[in-house]
Amino acid sequence: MIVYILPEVLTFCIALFFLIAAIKKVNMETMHKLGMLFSFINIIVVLIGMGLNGTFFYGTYKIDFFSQSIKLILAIGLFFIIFMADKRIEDVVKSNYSEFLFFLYSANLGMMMLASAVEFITLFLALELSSYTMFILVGFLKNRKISAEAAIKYLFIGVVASAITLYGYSIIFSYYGDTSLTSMRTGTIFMSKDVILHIGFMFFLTAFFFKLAILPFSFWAPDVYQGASTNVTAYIATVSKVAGVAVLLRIFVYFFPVFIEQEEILILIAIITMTYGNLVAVQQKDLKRLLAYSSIAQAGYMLVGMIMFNKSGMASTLFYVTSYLVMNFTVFLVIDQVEKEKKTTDITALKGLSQRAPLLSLALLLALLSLGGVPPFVGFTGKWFIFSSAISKGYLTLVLIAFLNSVISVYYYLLVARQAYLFLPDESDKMKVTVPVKIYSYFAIVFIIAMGFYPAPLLNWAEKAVKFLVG
Amino acid sequence: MMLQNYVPILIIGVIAIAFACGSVILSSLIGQKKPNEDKLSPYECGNVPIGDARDRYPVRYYIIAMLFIIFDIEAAFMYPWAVLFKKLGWLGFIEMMVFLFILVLGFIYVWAKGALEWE
Repeated sequence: MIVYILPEVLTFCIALFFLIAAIKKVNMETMHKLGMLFSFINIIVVLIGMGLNGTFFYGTYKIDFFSQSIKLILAIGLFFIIFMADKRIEDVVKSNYSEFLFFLYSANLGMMMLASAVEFITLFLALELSSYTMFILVGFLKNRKISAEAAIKYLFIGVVASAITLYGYSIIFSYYGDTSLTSMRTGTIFMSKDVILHIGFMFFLTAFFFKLAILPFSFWAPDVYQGASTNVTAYIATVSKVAGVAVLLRIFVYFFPVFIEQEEILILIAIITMTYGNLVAVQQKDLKRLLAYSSIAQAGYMLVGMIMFNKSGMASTLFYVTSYLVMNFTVFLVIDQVEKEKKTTDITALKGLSQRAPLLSLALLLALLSLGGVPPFVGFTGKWFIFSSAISKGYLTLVLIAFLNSVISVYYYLLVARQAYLFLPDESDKMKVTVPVKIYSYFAIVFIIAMGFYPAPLLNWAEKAVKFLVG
Repeated sequence: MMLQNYVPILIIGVIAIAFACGSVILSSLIGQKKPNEDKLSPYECGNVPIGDARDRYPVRYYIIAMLFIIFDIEAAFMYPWAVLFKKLGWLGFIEMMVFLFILVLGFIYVWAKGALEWE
């Protein structure tokens, strides 16, 4: 049995290792290397356990190709984040680097469990494990007031969202008297007409919408993105999105007879989310705030794919969120590099980047265009899959609005790129870019272009994962 | 049809709210008002209040409180385990040991970081 949950056990042991290591003051660079090494081993362990199948712990924990795929993405994402948190990180984080890694691994453990849990209490505990660690990570820069403010806001909104989810579940529980999602799945169809049950299910979604920053619960996003250390922001914007999408996909698949009746509400939420995100993002002058609103808008697109309730919509969402991880991480990596040098995340910090660091700014440009959905990059392909699955179900207006939104988004993404390409830099020297960052930039450029032209491998994988989820 | 069972609760809720609001509003409307200094001071068992009610106290208490909760939960968790010890067998024993190990690790961390030192 332990073979099946080996990735989780390993992640947990690594987290404990860093907790103990925090007692002794170990050199931060050693810790950084260890963290990278461990997360690499973690990726390999997840890869080895890819084909496993089974249900464990009295039917609360499900291991299948879907959950293992999500764990793989999470492990890769964690590797990226630790790779990004190199020795140029803020001093406060540097002096508490072991704890920083401990919280990152704990959050990742929570998200891994989130992908596998098929019982409500397990699901909720996994959700809380990942949320609490993230509240702490956001407030990690304790000498910065804005960071503490962000952490408190994140905590309060998160706690309220969790409370509403619990309340919603208590209503659902009063109908089924069971916390196992798998056994509830079979009974759903017969009771899906009751109003109270529908309200319960609507409430139930709250905490997951909070995690994905979908509109009524997205107001934490700008402050948290701005206040947290850029490494943590990148983690929230990429890895935690994957986990949020994974758990929402599972919930939508398991209870689709209920949610299919709430289609209008969900479509409305998707439309409002993306329109709000895009319109507000246009006015932002701070890069991290801009990306916060852009991530709200992107969550709207993902919701469109998920609420199609068919395999193609879900597979394209999975495809999109995976490519979104690479695109968004690339943008954050460049911002981080610039921020460490100029000590600001204002949009003008990127001025003249194309001359000071051509490779970085090319990666940034491609990632931004891809986020905006410009062909032939991977973001376009992902959006194309999502929108085409929506059109095939007849949602022409929805797709039209989403399309208009993505036109708006190109405007503000290009505003960022404009700073890098059309302005001359204030300094004349080249920017120092380390070799690993260069390697990652090449990888990102190749990924964004290649997956745009030839999405078949990634899409096939997403379709296979969704097949396991539904089947 | 399920909703009908809740009608009595709704009625009781409405009556409770109406009574609470009504008595406050009515007494402020028709009651006599002769305020003096003693009447306006906050009620504290008849004594004259000393200082502000919102007092500041050291943040260390929070750590003590957290540690207390952790070990409280541990005790609450161990009791049913001890009752069913024979039934659960070796698997239960190993799982409990894993749980305790994690808890002790956390405790060692807190101890080594000096959170338990009062001065």
